[in-house]
Formats: sequence, structure tokens, C-alpha cells
Amino acid sequence: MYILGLSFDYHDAAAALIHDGKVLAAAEEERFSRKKHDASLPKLAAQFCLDEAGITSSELDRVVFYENPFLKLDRILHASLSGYPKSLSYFNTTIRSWIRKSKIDVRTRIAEELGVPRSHVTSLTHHDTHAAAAFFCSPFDEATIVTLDGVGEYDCTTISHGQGNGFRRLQSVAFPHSIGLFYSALTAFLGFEVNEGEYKVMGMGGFGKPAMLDEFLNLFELHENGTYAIRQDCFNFLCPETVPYTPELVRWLGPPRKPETRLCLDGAHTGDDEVLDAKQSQHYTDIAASVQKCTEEVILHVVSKAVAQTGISNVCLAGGVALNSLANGRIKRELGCRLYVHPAAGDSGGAIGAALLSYYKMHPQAERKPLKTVYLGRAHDEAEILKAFQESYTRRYRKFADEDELVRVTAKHIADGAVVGWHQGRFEWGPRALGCRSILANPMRPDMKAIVNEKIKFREPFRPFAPAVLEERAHEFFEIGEIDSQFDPEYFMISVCDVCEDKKHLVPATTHVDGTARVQMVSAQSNPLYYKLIAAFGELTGVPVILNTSFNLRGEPIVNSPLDAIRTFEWSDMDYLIVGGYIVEKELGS
Amino acid sequence: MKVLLVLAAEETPRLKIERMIRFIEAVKNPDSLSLAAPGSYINYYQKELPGYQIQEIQATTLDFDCIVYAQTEDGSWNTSIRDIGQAKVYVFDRRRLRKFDNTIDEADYPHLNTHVFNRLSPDTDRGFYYFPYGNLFRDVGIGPLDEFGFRIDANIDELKNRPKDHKVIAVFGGSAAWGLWALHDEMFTTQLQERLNAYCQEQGYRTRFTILNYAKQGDVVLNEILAFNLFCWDIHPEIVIAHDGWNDLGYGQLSDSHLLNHHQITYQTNLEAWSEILHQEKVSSHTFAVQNLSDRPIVNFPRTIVTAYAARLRQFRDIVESRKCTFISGLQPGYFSRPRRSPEETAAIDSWEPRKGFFKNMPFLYEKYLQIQPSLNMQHFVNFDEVFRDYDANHTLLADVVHTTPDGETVIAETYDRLIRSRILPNLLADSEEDHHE
Repeated sequence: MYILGLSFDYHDAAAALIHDGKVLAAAEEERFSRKKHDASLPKLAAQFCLDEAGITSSELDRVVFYENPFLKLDRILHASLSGYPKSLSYFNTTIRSWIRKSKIDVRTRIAEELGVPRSHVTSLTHHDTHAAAAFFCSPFDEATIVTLDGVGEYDCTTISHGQGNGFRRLQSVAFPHSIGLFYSALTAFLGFEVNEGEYKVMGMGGFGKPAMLDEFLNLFELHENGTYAIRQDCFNFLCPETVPYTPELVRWLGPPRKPETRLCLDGAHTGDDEVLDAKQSQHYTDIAASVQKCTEEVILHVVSKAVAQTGISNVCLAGGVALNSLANGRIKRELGCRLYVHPAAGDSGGAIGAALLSYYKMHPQAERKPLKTVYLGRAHDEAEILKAFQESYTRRYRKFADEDELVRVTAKHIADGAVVGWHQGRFEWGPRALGCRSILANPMRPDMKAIVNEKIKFREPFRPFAPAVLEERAHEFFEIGEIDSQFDPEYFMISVCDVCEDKKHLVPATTHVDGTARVQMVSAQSNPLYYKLIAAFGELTGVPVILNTSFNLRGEPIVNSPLDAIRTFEWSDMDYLIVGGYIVEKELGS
Repeated sequence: MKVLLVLAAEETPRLKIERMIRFIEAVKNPDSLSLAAPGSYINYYQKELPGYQIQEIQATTLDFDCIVYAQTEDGSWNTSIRDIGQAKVYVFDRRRLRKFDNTIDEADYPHLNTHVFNRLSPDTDRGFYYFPYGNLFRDVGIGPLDEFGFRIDANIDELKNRPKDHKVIAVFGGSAAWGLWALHDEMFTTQLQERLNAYCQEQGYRTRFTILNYAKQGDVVLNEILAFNLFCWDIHPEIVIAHDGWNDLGYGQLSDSHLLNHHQITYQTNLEAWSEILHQEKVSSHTFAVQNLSDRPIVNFPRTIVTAYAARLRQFRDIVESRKCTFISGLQPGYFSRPRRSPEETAAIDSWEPRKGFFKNMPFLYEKYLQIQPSLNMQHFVNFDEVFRDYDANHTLLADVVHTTPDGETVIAETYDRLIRSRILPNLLADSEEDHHE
């Protein structure tokens, strides 16, 4: 039975195809359309999924949308009515958008766009699909499931008890009390784009002190059953027009940070944009640190109370907030939980969740098939690589004699300080590049963070880079604690831990200012070529760790095709591109 | 000519009004200039402009040859004068005097019928018009334009037979060298001419300079070569300045990949419209306006864009030097050349959205070009990216992402002046005794 799951119409549209409960393919639309956070109906991603399975849309047994548009519209209408007349403009804009894009009749749109009978199309609810993505992809037979995001239809946070092929909702926190919207509002206040800049807040927080933690926590009322409420006077979650916060927040925290203004960190700054002085920078980094810490406390509250209710310490997390890797690290360390976080925890993950939930509802006795790989995207063969060279007029390339040479030469270049674009096999599911669409560099060089941030990715100098480490040597370098299985978040780069004190000097480029790192443990089973590369680098340098960041430029989606990779390589100061079995060198020096 | 300036229904600052008045005086050379304002703003304007008499806008016939409406910040204007009589109506749109209905006559542009391609073109006031060797350009309302769109107001025939102590500098480039935000006397070319002549006079030299501005909006170096060959060859200038970079590196991102990669042809992307007009059935317009290019896909890569620019520049240099002229390459500034900006400059730059479209890649391309620039062995090279970085936030040098304010034009003029005086003028003075004209 083929089921296609779809998520779209808000941000990060995606498609996922399962066959008899097994995930065959999954991808975000942005990888194909090249529009960051593309929210449109994911026709290209859906077509890729069908191609991957070798079927046509007529062979689909069901297409499942990840949320219920009627309930969502109902929430928007209720919020608008409660805020009238101030909400009139929000109401007009939102309703126009719903009408223009036919958001309400999503079944017809899907049927028409994909060429499937309307009767084959169905929809579920937002947090159920998140919960399904987390639980059904996990290795657990029984688990406490927690979903946390901005808002679905009405829910913002849910607690469920998962068992076998189903789960039962225990608690939920209804809109507008949303930890996700809280984080996004402060993301906007700190001058970053909502649904894009949340990682930046996390990185920025490393430079600050949580001096305002108590004040932020005072905004929350934490309930014994794991739910919470947020004081609303500082926020405008109901009908946000320009920013999701109110003048009250500005009265409290002062003026918001102007986008793109540079922070003066460690007494130094770089770049061409307007620069904040040390005091202003400290103020904003302290806010970021306080918001982050507050969010962690709320998440820990929800998860600990959820576990207390179910009595199950296997925890599955999903929803955009579950990408908060600092909080994930603390859940494992402080609550002693076995943790599974869906690698595409945000809305895109709803596509897999929708497909799986639909399947297990129909097949309650079917065998569960945990998601063993994140490499669910498109791969490109040699002919496509050569075509990309031709289309891009790339001349300085050569083919490696074999995989050993590829690994040896690449490791040597990285060890020598080169920055390498790495394009191999199927691309990753979710926002993390895990060694198939990555930019790789030497983490041992203290200057490498600045080089990659400013010369390669053209992004803020305060943003940290993640280390990829051989799984068997991870404990030598990182305080990762107990690893339960290859489903642990450390394999997916969604958990932060401390770098071992005596190793920080060895990996300065991947050690954040607060001494932490967002590790990716790499096993020979999950990604053999990548594993070999890190091992070869380790043999050359004694440090089996590589700096890994996603293969994209600022504001662009991660690359998909070889041509995307060449484009990104050319428009940055990367030194080499390894694409399949080929190496490309720069024609203009960097 | 009697001109009426109708001030906007908002509190326009004095400096802006004075700028409008300066424009009207420079472009229209009026015998009299009257000011009017909406009744509710009379008091404001009278306080702001104590030296002027401001009358209330009359809704009856007015005896003016020309009415200029001042545009408000949001781009609207007050058109409450219902009966304008015989007056021609213009809008001052922050940058120029734009004809209200966009149609012009020979009073606005005397060259409308100077040659066949002007005659065959529509009588509109801004845009590109067909010419077999590049294009014609019109942007009236900022000062004199010659029959091709160059901001040249000199007798070219006389210059071809000038005395040996009369030196000519020909300047080439795109809209920044053309002087998009500058009146004629504010262009760096005019300022440079005045500086050099003042210096020569001070020093007691008989030598004097005329500077001809052969820059045109959208021109890339290939256009500069064409313009030099077509219009400048017989003038035999002593110095040629190629003040460029932005267009070749910008349009290079968008130009056809085959043409760029195989033939190093970078072209103003608008030129593709000619092919559509000539060969395709569905044509939306028979002229083309200045296009918004931010949505066009970037199809080329830095290596070819930069090397194509470098190759064309070297070619231009070789052509110019074969005529025994001195060649100066000036790399024009861009928004990234102003890390410390005044608030006005920040607002002006941001309004053009520098992080969008091909603009966002310009710093990278400049960096790549500057890496290979030394290999061109240019005897005279000025890096205005570097020059502009030296000015702090008390200066407003850019009026948008690439075009300079009058103050920015002054910085450019000063820089070329210093270079020419220190490194080129001594040789020119030595040569003055020897007639090298053909």
C-alpha cells in the first residue's frame, strides 16, 4: 500500500512516500524549487517520491494532508473576532490569502495538482501528525510523546502516550499559549526572521548570560499536569500584523534589535553592516540567553510531567521546538530519558507523520518499521554530474581512481585547511546536513569558524558549527553521556553537549563560546563514505572530528543537484567540491 | 519662461525644496520662478523659506509656461490646479524633472529629430531606443543630453581640431559615470574639468581641459569600446577614463551563458527586448524601459563573469593605448564600499534592497575581480571601493546601491584629479609642444 503524506501551506512544504509502513522517500519542496521555506503544494517533492518508488500517482492508495484546514480557519476566525476591531487588517489579509490560495479546499487542490481521485485524499490534525512522525519513526514500542510548536489547528503543545501502533492524547495546551510562538516572538524582537532565525537566537545566546531568566519565567504559569499558560500582555499571538509582540515587551526590554546590525562580541566585530556597541550587544545576547534558558525550563517541565503521567521514560519529540538542541541535551542528561527526536521535527516532518498515522490507523496490527536512515532524498548518478559540469562550463575537474583515493585526497585537503563542498548520495531529510550535502572543514583551526561563516556562508560571525565525529570515539571529545542506540539525537545533530575540557583546544572551530557543541556521531553503517572520510582525517591529524555545516549559502536552501552544488561552490570561497567520484577545483583563487 | 513650483502637501524640508529650485533653474533656466502650496501648508512653507513668497494654489487659469509639481515622500503630488492653460506640466521625482504625461518635444530634448533613429523613436522622456550600434538613451529633465544620450554639451567638431594645449579627457562607463543623481555641474566629469583647469591656471600653464562624458546608462565595457570607436576616435583624447565595474559584474550574472562563456560577451540584459520586438509576435511594448532585474535568474558563475570583464577592459585599454592615449581604469564604488553610512545613505541603499537578486553577489564579484586585477598590468588603476570606505558616517556619498550623490561625485573628481595631476599631467605638459594630432 502506497501512501503519500504532504505538508504545505504554511512553511517548509514536504512530501513523503511510504510503502506498507516503510518510508521510501521524503523531501522538502525547497530542495527542488530552490525557494527557502517554500510553502507551496509540494508537487516537485511529490514527483520525486513517486519517481523514487517507480510508480505514478495513479498507483497511490491514499494521499494524506498533515492538518485540518477547517479547524485552522476556525481558529483564525475566532482569534480575529476576539481581537476586533484591531484585528481587522490581520483578518482581511489572512482571509484574502486563504481565498486566493484555496487553502480551505485542500483536498481538491491536491487531487487536481497530483492527478489523484479526490476520494483518495484525506487529512489529519497537525499535532497528531507530529506525534506520529516522532513515535512511529522511533525504536520504541511504548513512549511518552511530546509535541511542541508554534500552533497547529488549536494545539500548541501536546502530551500523548504511545503504544504499539497508536497513541492516546493525554494533555494539550491550546493557542495562544505557545512556547513556539514565544520563542518566535523573541526571535523577531532580536532582529531575525521568524521560522528561520530561531537557530540564530540559540547561537547568540551562547554569548550572553541568562540574566533575565526569572523575569521571562514569570511570564509562564506551569501546571502540574505538564501544561502551561503564558501571560499575553507582551505578545500578540492572536492577530499579529507586523510583529508578534506588543509595545509592552518594548517597554520592558527596550527597542528591538534592528535586523542585520552586527554584534560586538569579545570586543571585536567584523562586516560591513551597522555595528552595535559592546553594551547593546551584551543586552541583546543576554536576552537571547534568557529566552533560551527559559524555553529549556518550560520544555523540561512539560517533558518531566509528561513522563510522570505515563510512567514511560522513552520520550519522542516533534514539532519545531523539538529542534531546540540545547533543550534536547538537557532532557537526556537531566531527566535521564531515552530520547528520540524526529530529524525533521518541524512542519515538514508532518508529511511522514501523516502517511504513517494513516497507515497504522488502517493496519493496527502491522509491524512497526523505525526510521533507520535520514538519507531519504534524491541521489544523482554520474551522467547527471557530467551534465552539470557541461552546463556550468566547469573545466577543472577530474575523476578519482577509486573511493580510497577520494577519501585520502579529500581528508588531506581538509587537514591542510581547505574548505570542501561534499555532495554524495541521497540528500538528508530535515534541516540538518549529515554528511551527504555538507560543507566540510578542519575543526582544529581556530580561524576556521570565521572563514566558513564569513567567507563561505556569508552569515553572522556568532553562529557555531557542528562537529561530526566517529561514533566510537565520540566520548573522548564530547560529554555525550549514555548512548542508547543509533536513534539517539546525537546521530542526527539535534542535541547539544559539552566538549570535554581537555579536548576543547583540539576542536576550537566547532566549540561554541559556551564550551558546547551540537555533535553528529557517525557510524559506518549509517554513512560508510562519510565515516571513512572522518576516519582518514583522524589518521592524518589524530582528531577524528570534522567541521560539518549544511551545503548552502545564507538565505538559500541546502543544495539538491550537482548543479546546485557547483553553483554554491562557485559563489563562495570553498576550495574544492567533491561531487560523487569527482573533484572540482576553483578556477579563480580564493 | 515663467515657472510655477507647486510644493507638496507635506512638510518638505528646506534643503529638499532648495534642491528642486536648483534643478528647475539648471534645467529650465526660467525668467521667473513662483512658488505655490496648498492653503494648509502656506504657513509652514513661509517659515521654512523666508526669502520666498509662497502663494496659495489657485484653482483658476494660471499664466505660466511650466508647472512643476513637487512629489511627496510617498510618490504622490498635488494636482489641484484644474486649468493649467498652455503650461507644460512636470513632476520633480527626487531625481529629475519628469514630464507629467511622459511625452516630450524638442523644447525638452532638442535632438528628437537630429537623426533617423531618434526620428523613428517615440517621443517619450526616458528609456532606451533602437540604434544599430548599442542603443540610444534618453533621460531628460536632468540637464543637456546629446543626440545619443550622452551628457555632452560641447562642440565636438571644434574639439577635433583643437590646439595642442587643449587636452580632452573622455570618460566612459554606465549610469554612475553618467551621473544619475547629479545635475550637469555636479557630475564628477564637470567637477574634474573645473579642478584641472583651475590647477593649470594657478600654475600658469596654458593647458586647459575639456572632459567629455561618454557614459550611458547600462553600458558595459563592450558598449564603451563601441562608443569610443564611433564617437571618440577622431577626437583623439589625451586621456580615457573607464569608470565602471558594476554593470559588467552585474549584467554578467544575467547574460546568456553561451555568449559569456564562449565569447566573453556581457551585455545589458534589456537588449534581449530588441530581439523580442523584432522577431516575436507578442510584444508588450515597442521600446523598453529600465527594467527591474532583481527577479531574473543568475545564470553565470564568478570565474566567467570576472574574467570577461577583465578581458574586455584589457581590450579597451589596448585600443585606447594604440591611439597613444593614456588609459585610466576606475573601479566604481558599490553599496558595500560604505561600511560606515550616514542615516540618509542607509535609507537610500536599503530602498534598493541590496541583498536581493544580483546585487547581493556584487561584493563577492568585486573581491574576485580585485584578486585578478593586478594581472591586467594597468598603469593607472583607481579602486573606488577602497576610496569610499575611507569616508565615515558623516558623509553621504551614495544615493542608492551604486549611484553617487553630488558629494560622492566630488570624491571621485578629487581622486581622479590627484591621479592625473601627479602621474599624467607632467607628461601631457611635456608633450604640449609637440603636436601629435593626426
